[in-house]
Amino acid sequence: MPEYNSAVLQELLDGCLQKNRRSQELLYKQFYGYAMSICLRYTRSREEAKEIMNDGFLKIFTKLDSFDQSRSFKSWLSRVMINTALDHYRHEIRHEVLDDVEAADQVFVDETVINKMAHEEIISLVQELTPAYRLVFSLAVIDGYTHEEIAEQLNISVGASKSNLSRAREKLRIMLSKINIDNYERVTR
Amino acid sequence: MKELPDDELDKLFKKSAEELDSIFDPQDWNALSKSLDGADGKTPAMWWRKWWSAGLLALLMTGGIGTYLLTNNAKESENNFAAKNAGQTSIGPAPAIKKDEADNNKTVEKLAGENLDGQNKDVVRIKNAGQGDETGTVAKSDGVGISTRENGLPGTVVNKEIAATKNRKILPRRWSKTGGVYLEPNRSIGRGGDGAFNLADNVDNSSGIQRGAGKVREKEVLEQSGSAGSEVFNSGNRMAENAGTDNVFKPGVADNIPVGSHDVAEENRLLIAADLLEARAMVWNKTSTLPKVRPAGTPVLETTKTAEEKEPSPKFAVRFSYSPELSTVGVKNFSKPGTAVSLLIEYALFRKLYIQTGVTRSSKVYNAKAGEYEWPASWYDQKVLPTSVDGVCKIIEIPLNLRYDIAQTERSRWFAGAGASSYYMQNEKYDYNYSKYVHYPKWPNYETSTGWYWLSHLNASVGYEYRLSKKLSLIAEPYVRIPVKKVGFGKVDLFTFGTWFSVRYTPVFK
Repeated sequence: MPEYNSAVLQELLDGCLQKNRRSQELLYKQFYGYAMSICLRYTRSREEAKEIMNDGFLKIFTKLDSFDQSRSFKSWLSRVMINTALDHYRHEIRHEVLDDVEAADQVFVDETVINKMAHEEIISLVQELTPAYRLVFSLAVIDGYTHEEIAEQLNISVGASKSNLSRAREKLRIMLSKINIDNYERVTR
Repeated sequence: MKELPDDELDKLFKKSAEELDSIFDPQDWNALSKSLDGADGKTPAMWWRKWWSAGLLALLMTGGIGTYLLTNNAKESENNFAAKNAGQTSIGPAPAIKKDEADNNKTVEKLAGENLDGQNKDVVRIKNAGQGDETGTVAKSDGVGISTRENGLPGTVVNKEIAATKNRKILPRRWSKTGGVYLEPNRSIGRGGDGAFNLADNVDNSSGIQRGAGKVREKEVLEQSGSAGSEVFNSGNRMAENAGTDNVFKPGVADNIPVGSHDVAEENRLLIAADLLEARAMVWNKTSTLPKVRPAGTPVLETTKTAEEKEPSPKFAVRFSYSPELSTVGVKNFSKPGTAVSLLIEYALFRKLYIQTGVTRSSKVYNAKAGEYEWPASWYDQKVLPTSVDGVCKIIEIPLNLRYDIAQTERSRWFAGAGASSYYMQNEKYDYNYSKYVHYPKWPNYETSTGWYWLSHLNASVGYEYRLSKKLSLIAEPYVRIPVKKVGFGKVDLFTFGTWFSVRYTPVFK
């Protein structure tokens, strides 16, 4: 019995290995939310995220025989989704021009407002970042990649990775502060 | 209000990412389900993508074998025909008579359409034989035949034969060689005939002269039938004499025919026809041999040379190949076999030396031990490193090889090849194996593409080629790829061994 995967999951994986469409559908449904949340933070829109997620699942279903079932399926799925998103970035968005971060001396954020924000809203802020910032931020902050790994994955220097992360944070702070200001204006109006 | 520090900002986004749960949308599954149908080969497009290479190979093989069988059958027919001819007659082989009959049929049918009476039909038949373009050619043949074959038999035979031939099936002219009929026995070998007289050089192409020539020929035949009679045709050598002398008609003499003697001439033509046909019958039974008849100076060797010169020498060839192959790092850790397909173009620099290039796509499966795989520096922050890696790499390869033909027979040849290849690592998938249990390893697997490695491998091969036909051949070619550069994400020395199974097509450019 594998350490990570439950008996139900194991059964689903066996069905998927036999290309059983019902098993594939059940596995898809079970990991849909998890996979979509990964893809959303690497893309600009839900449509794009859906495209990458389905590409990732296609890889999973067609290459499932290369998955070592003694390991965590969730971890493997996460890796496949991230790699698919990175491939997508390499092929589609590589030459996109980076925006400059607006000059901001000090950015203040109201915690109470942030606490009221839904997770979708927060992740949508990441989606608003330029691709280079978005990828570095997601890889470094959410998925725990080091700058060396990011540099290797995105074919940039370690310095550029650090710089992009710093600018991405700055940009996110600005966006959060703008939300504060908007909320303040709405209340005082 | 406060400034949000980095760690708190990170915590905020990390938490949202972990807790975000999207609602399932059935439309998304439908889209994936269609893609899965395609990947499983359930849609025609995907089926085609999956099987086109095998289909093409099968088609080429079938085509090659078919061409080979057809070519062989045609050759056998020609050989049988030649064998028959050699065993039967000297001047005009048996089928030549059939041909003459066929021509007679044609002429008679034509005349029948003109509502001519029986006598005139015979007369006009002779005229036709000496006139029109194509019948003119036959007339030349007849001209020779008449001067050598006549034996003065009664002309009534002709009427009988003509009547008999009226009911026979007419062979179209384009069926000139159908059923072994050989239409042009008097053409030189250089012109596609069997080496008897070539009168074309003596005859002006203008119809007037041809007509004149026809008359002179008839006149000569009459003279010969009167003087020499059947004696001439009882000897094959005598026939050869005729062939060698100027006894054949000369166009310039055409004007010597008296214009007023038309009716007499027609009568004579009828007699000539009788002589001619009877002469053919005699020829049928003759056993003399053709080489004696061939006029001196017939450019046999010259003709052969010309044929060789005209035969286009193939400069280009295209090869489609499939290969099972084994890849390894360090020449000992063989893993599962991979496959490769290639499309190559060959150009003959010299008769035996070809330059070869094209594109190859391969799937290389290999296993590398920890010491053979160069781990990226960033990986050392993971406490436990993998003990080995299983790699599956999709590689596009551009080879540049020279191929030299070592030994060659009519149908087969042995060759050796050498050169260099550039690799493009299109897709690299690595599964990392750990000897100890690692809780959530950072690198359970990895997928990437590291791009081009120019002239990264040396190629060497030997092969055997078997020709199915002039244009198609089959090749078996064991090969090896020896690394001169490390390739891939893990920078490995990747050896590859395999055997190409190829179909080689040699197009002929006119």
